[in-house]
Amino acid sequence: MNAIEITNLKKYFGKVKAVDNISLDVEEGDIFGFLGPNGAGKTTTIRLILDFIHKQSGSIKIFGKDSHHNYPEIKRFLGYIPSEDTLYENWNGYDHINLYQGIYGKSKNLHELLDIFDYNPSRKILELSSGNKRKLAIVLALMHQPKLLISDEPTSGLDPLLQIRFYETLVKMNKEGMTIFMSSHNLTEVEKTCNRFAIIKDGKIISSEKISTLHDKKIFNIDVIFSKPVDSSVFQKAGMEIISKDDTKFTFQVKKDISNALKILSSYHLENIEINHASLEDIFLEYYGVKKDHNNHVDNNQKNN
Amino acid sequence: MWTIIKRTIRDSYLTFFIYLAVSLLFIWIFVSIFPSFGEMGEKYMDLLKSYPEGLMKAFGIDSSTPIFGKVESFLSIENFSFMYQILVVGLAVSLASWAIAGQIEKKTMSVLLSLPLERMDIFIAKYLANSFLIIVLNAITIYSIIFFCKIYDVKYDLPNYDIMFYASTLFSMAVYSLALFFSALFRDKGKVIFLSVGITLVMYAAYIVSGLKENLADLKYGTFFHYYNAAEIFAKGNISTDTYLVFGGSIILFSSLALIIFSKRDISV
Repeated sequence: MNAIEITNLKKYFGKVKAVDNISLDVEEGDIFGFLGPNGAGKTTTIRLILDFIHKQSGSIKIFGKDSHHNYPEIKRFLGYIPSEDTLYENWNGYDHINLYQGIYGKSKNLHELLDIFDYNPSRKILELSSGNKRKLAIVLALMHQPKLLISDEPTSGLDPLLQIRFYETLVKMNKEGMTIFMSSHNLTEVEKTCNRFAIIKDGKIISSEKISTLHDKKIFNIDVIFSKPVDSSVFQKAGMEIISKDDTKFTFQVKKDISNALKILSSYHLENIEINHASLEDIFLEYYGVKKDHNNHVDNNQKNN
Repeated sequence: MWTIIKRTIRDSYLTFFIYLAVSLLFIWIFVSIFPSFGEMGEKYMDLLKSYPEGLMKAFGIDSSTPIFGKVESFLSIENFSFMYQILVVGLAVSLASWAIAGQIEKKTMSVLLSLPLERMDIFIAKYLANSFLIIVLNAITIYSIIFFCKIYDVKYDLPNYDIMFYASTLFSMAVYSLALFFSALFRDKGKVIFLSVGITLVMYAAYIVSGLKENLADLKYGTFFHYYNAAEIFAKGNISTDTYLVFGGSIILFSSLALIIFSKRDISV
């Protein structure tokens, strides 16, 4: 059975097509990445799944049940990590935890989660850092051991160490049977954790694939300062696209495999090197050929689908 | 639902106690000064008779009834013609604006909506919790008069207190329901407060004007204040059926609309 089954879902806000006829299946046991740049429709889709907002048309089924007509029942086995701080600032962590335990019953894994995320619930939310608020949001979502976790940009505000703990916890709970649907605009995050992903842009799903295909869609930006002037033709022959060049300062773009580029660069004396992942926007343009026209519609000339 | 009710009451403790303290303070002051007014009652009545009849009626003053003859008449003018209304409107609007719009504005509604509860359950839990606070404020305020009367050895007319409690509660709940309707409609607490308080003030102004201008006399029927006439209710113990019908009808109408809107609307949190 599919954990989430979205069919021809539409949600318009006036003339803005926030979600434009999307269909999507998340299988039970998946860790599903929902990728897209800011404003692509990720959060709107999540709000539709959670029945915070109502669809124009289409259907959303959670474990075979209509998400609108059965939402209290569905939410009993669903955990949600929102993208931003939605906690009561005058409450402390225990107040939130007690509210959840009052509705769901006593949590079996609360203390384990508090240990994992090193979170002290006795402090008021008002006094907490964004990272600590995030920890509480994660604890609240996981403390009743949901069958399905929906998370919207779950690691924003978490330091790298806690991000690792978070993903380790997710993977562990996934092995115990929890399906995960996580939105992100971070390709690396999705690539490391998920087994399937979909890409949404301008309200349309432009790709839904297995994670292995994402490995072939990487783009790296390499900023290099050479110690002395070099012949740039060598790099072009090696498939390193020169984005900008200023005397000894170069910016290269390399697709898919970076190892050859690094091998070439290592033969030079470098003053500095910096490697970054290209933005999702660049990847969309490169691999999916998605362009925006003037009427906010999406011209979808997919190369790969 | 019980968890939400308890939590809502707990969240409003401070607001509630501030309003209650102010309300009790006024009652205490007015009851304590009443005996000294009683001695000079006739002089004051002569002074008041020089004011326009309409204005006196608008403030609940009936020139044929001695204001300083009984504590209920005195309080109906000093406390229950304007001061108390401001207090209960303040509490009712404060509770209603936070119940829905405030929580959408602060995005905390996301916490409640992600719980396995029907929207109707969330609404009813908040409605019951806030109604409880409003009823308690009215009960303590009205019945505390008896307590203060005993302290200052002032005579009181016991049967009128129950009627005054019913009328005050109905008035407060009607304002609360109106504010809750706006709270369900908007996602901005400020807008709810502005509209609810604004409409109440316009009603009050219309009520005063209706007393002063004969050709605008019918305006009073469109205001809550006409049906919450403390001079009639508290001083004389008379409550009209219209008071029950108008306040009862407003409570049912605005609460139902608020529930329907809250259940159906998009909540982007």
